[in-house]
Amino acid sequence: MAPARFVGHVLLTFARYLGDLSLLLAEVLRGIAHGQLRFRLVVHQIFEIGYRSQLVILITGAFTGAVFATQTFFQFQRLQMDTAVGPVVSVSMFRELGPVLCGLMVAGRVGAAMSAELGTMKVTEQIDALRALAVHPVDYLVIPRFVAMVVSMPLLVAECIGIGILAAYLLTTQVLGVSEAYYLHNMLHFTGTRDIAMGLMKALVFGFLIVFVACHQGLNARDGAVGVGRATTEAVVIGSLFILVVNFFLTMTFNIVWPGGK
Amino acid sequence: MSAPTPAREVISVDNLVQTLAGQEILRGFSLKVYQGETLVLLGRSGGGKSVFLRHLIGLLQPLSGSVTVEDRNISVLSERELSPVRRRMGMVFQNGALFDSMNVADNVAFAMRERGETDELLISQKVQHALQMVELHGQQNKMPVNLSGGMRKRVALARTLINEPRYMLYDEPTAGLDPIVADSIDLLVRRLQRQLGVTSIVVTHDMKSTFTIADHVAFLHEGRCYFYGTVAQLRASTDPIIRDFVDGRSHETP
Repeated sequence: MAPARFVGHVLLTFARYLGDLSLLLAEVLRGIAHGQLRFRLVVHQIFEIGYRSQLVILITGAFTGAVFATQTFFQFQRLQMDTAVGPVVSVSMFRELGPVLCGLMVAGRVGAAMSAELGTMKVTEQIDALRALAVHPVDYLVIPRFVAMVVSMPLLVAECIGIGILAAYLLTTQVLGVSEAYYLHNMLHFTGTRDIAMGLMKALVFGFLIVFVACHQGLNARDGAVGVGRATTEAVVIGSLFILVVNFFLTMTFNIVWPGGK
Repeated sequence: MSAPTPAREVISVDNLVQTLAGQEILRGFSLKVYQGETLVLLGRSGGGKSVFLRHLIGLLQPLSGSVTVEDRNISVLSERELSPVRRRMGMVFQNGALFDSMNVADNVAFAMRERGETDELLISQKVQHALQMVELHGQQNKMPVNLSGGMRKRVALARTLINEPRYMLYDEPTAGLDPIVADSIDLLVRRLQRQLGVTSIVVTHDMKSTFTIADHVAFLHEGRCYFYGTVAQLRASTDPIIRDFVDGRSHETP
């Protein structure tokens, strides 16, 4: 009975959590429908999410591309397929590595910051002060972050993929000695709009997950500094796990809905 | 201080019940507040005074019972439906609850900007006026983290005053302040009532403050309204629980 009860408890908790996230999403959509879009705050959040993540995203993209190219090169070289490094790196960066690694880095950097900021506002009564001043906290705090994330995340992922492919190209052609023409030709031949669409769709979905998980944790923080710390940790952990699990289902869905071809 | 002539009942709380973290905080609390008066709510620390105050502006929804503001039951309204009611009210939180990412001027101007006001000259004039009312002129550019406890409370007061509220809710406005700043806050509460006709509900356990500002006093004890009356009636009460509170006696052996 005990294991069944435990599983039931876990499932119920998860269902309740998804319900909470759905309610937050509904409130965001209701706010947007009411015209609650504060452009100044959106621009500020784009700066926080997009601009301030530049260093992290550039390093993540460049080193992922470079290390993946190196591994692929030394494996493929034995089969005399070293010009296939280009398409393998490119397709992998678009479909999986770019969106997932960029998502994990943004969940760590931006998700933690959002959750900590909102959590601190919650425990110091600043969110109650907003409500008392007749301002809906979702309109003022969540919608700008949501819109900024929708704008920033595909751009960050595109940048991460681009830098990764560039780093792989430079390393493979300039250091490892693969022909530039063959590399580029093969890469462009085997990389299609399908790969690009998959990468950007994933970016958008991961952006949604990061912003909703982080804002939900922040808005529900309690018990002072300890609670803010807990909310921040949970925002990063839950956000990252969601990205990894949802990524699997997205990959499956994409390949079933849009199989084969480019 | 004598109560003003009987006036219209503007806030009515009926049989309020609230439980937080499994503990029954309010057990059928009822109270009426009249237009233009200052009502002081007394009670022991942790007795549920702040919890009660939060119901008056819809920050908490009661388990049962109702809060009626100007003939409208606000305890059944959604967060968005509460906005017009909240625009007529102001709440000063115990620690000020200032937005710590903004300086004093931006904190005070917050409600005006949120209402869509874009005339920065008008906003600046109103901010200066509100800061003058709380005797904080010239502090516009300071960040909340650099303010003392008393200054934070006064900025919080200025932030609500800029809305020109009809009702003010104060949560322990003089707690933790030196006696002179506490007195200046009391005088300000009084001045707002006289000059602007603001109806105030003040949660406190500061007896000096109570005797200075109250028209009516309510005493919250074990989740219910144990006493309601004027300051004179409070002073004259022979009830042992009221007397212990007013005189500050604990009955513990040293």
